[in-house]
Amino acid sequence: MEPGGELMSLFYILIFPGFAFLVAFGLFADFFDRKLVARLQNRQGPPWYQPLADMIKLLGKEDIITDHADRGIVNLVPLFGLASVAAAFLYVPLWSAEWPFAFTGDLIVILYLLTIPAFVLVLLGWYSPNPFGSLGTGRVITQLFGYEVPFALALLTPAIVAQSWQVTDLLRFQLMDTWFIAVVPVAFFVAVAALVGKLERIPFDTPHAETEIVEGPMTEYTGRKLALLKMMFQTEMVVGSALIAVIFLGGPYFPGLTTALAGTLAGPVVGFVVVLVKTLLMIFLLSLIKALFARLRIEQMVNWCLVWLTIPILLQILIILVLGAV
Amino acid sequence: MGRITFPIGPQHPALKEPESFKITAEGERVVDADVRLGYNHRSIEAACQHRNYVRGQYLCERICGICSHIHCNTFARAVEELLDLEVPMRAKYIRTIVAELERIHSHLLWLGVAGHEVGFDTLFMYVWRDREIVQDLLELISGNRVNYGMATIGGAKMDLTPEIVSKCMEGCKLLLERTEYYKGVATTEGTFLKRVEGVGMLSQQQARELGAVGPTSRASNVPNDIRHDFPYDAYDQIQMEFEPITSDLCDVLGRTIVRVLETEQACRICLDLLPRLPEGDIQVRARPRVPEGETLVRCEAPRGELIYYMRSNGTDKPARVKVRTPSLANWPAALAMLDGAYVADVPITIASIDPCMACTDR
Amino acid sequence: MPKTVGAMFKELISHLFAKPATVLYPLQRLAPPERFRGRLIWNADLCIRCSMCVRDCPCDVLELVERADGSVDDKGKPIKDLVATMSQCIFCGQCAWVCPKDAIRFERVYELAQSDKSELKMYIEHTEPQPEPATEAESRPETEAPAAAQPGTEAQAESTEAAEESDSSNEQ
Repeated sequence: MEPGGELMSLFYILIFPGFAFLVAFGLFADFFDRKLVARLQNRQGPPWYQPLADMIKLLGKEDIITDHADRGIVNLVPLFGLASVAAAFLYVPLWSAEWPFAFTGDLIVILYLLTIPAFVLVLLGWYSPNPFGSLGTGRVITQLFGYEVPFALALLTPAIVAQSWQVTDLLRFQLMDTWFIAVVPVAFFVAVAALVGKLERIPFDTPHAETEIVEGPMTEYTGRKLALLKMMFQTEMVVGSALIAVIFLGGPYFPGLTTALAGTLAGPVVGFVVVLVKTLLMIFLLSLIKALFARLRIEQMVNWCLVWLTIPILLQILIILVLGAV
Repeated sequence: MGRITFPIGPQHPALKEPESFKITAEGERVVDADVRLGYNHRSIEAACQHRNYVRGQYLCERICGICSHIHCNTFARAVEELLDLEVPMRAKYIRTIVAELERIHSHLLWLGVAGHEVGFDTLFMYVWRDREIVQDLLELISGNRVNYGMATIGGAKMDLTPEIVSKCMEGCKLLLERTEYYKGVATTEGTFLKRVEGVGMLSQQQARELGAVGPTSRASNVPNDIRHDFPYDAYDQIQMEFEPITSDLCDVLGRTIVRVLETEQACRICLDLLPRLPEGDIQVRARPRVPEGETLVRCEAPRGELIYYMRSNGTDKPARVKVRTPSLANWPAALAMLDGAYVADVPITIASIDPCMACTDR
Repeated sequence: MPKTVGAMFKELISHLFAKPATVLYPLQRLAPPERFRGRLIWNADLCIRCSMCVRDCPCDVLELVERADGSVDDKGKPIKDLVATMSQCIFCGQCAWVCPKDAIRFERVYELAQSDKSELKMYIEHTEPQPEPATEAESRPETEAPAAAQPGTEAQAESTEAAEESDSSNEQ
């Protein structure tokens, strides 16, 4: 690769659409979510700079590490969480199917990287001397059984339909054919519900249920570590929503607009804006779900996921395979 | 599976007041629960002995912020019994109306807190927004949102003008509509029902044996209601049908339904009494020195049966004031409910008896 | 009871486009009702120094003390003035209710917080014209006429309105 290409790659990874953009969009998405939930609850909601102010405040607080914890692990693990989510974002095509980082199998890599935040919480809870930490850790692991398999299967269903493990191929399929939400609607529903569990939002937020176990695994952490953890959750929300928007809602493609702008410079720009709008639409859906429901107990959550997520997605895949053979 | 003992309290996001629980859990099941009370003890009963009756009434009113009027009212009734005073009818009506408005405010507060404990923040926000209606009414009547000071020894302190009466009627009609809506939400929302159905079971026999009072016992089909069994103030003047509201569900859902229906009933009582306010004085003169004697008065606070025992010795200070608050009576029932419960259900189970630590500890 | 999923859906969506229920204090202020017990005001000329308010106050806020300069009235008895330890006041309203001459009352001003306890004052008003204080010693530390309408508050309660609160001369 020419030196310019490496510099370009570094720009992509660190600035746009990499880390800096992801963090900024994560803060905006957090504001959007909180404001939306507040307006749904007939409240005022925070101003646009609130997540940024929270981050700055947290960074200024004292960073306490308990004696019980291993300093090395507890310092490194939140960084790993944020880094894995940022790395996953690199493989989500944001403006066209010609994405510089795409390669065969990048869908699997994204799924793998997105499981790391759960283990970050598990490790942090393990190293917390607080009984709330260990209770929270147990719940995180139990919740993994509920959402992880359906989430992976739901994202692999379009891959089976399009016969490819590459996200950009799924985009091309949606450009030629129809959006996957129309082809495999059950997979869309399962993906969204499993994403709610992954992000630990109501109704699946038992691992850090405020009224039961304070903050669960994150109880004992303050200052920089808590800022990193919150950032991890916010960016995970962006990555998950963008992934579903790209795979199921057609990504940068908008009927009529895409063909009109194909080949021009405005094409990728408009495509990028369309992806952002669709991501915000997904976040709207997540906020609506948060405002509508109460919190489920852990065994209720796993049972519900088994009945309403795992079984339907397996049936959906069976149908796809049968239809494919036919 | 190993046992883990964790504390809930004295500081915990689930609790509105300090109380300490030690929950021993095996996995997600509670095997043992221990409660320590007394963090809010202010020795109010002892303080009453050093203050004359007028000051003591203001002190006892501040035992609790949510049920302040009923303490003020019952204290006044106890002293009136010792003085053998007959309170004018208009004052009785006013006291009853304020007591029922306070019941509405207390039950709506509880509904919001219950929603918050199970993570249903939307219900919490909406219910507390509508609670502002009754808070504004109480502020209009008395000048304050809590600690109204509406009952004095010998009657009521402030009168209800026709303008206040009409505003109260409007407010009560609006609250009836909203409570109807919340009853619908609480009984049909799937996720909420999953958290409250079958949780915190207290059988009828347990409720009787452990001495549970108020909505906690009425939800276990024990039809005790002091307003109905031993009417005081203007409760015998109510013209509409007035029966204690019970439920045979015996769980947190039953308690929710009982409280919501009681809110509706309180709105209806206000709408019944307000247009029929009798003419007359609202106050009779009371002597500062109370002759020797002792008395016991009971009333139905929003949380259950409230008992005041008072003994006088001829001076202007009481010899002994003893307060048995309903929250104190419900704690054994709460601990019985926690046996074998899920850890995730501990906050909502404790919240279902509507604990008021300020009342419990005095 | 038929179970539904998302029972509050219609209500939520309808509120998405409605004005929030929040009152944006301090940009918006709600006016307290008539009977609101805010700032305490004592009328030095209407007061007959019967000390019923002093006796009844649950928190021992009020006290009648002789003037520092030892001034006496026509009969030779020292003139007493009411002083209040406002940091202990619970704004219960017993003093205003029991006063036979309506000399002590509450105003609808609630923004009374100060950073120093000595700044918490009861305000003194006069209905008769006052002579100019001859010496520094005569001007009392608590003397301050109630300020004209504070920014943002509604119109101050007229002094006659408070008279409605105490219904009749009810004495304990």
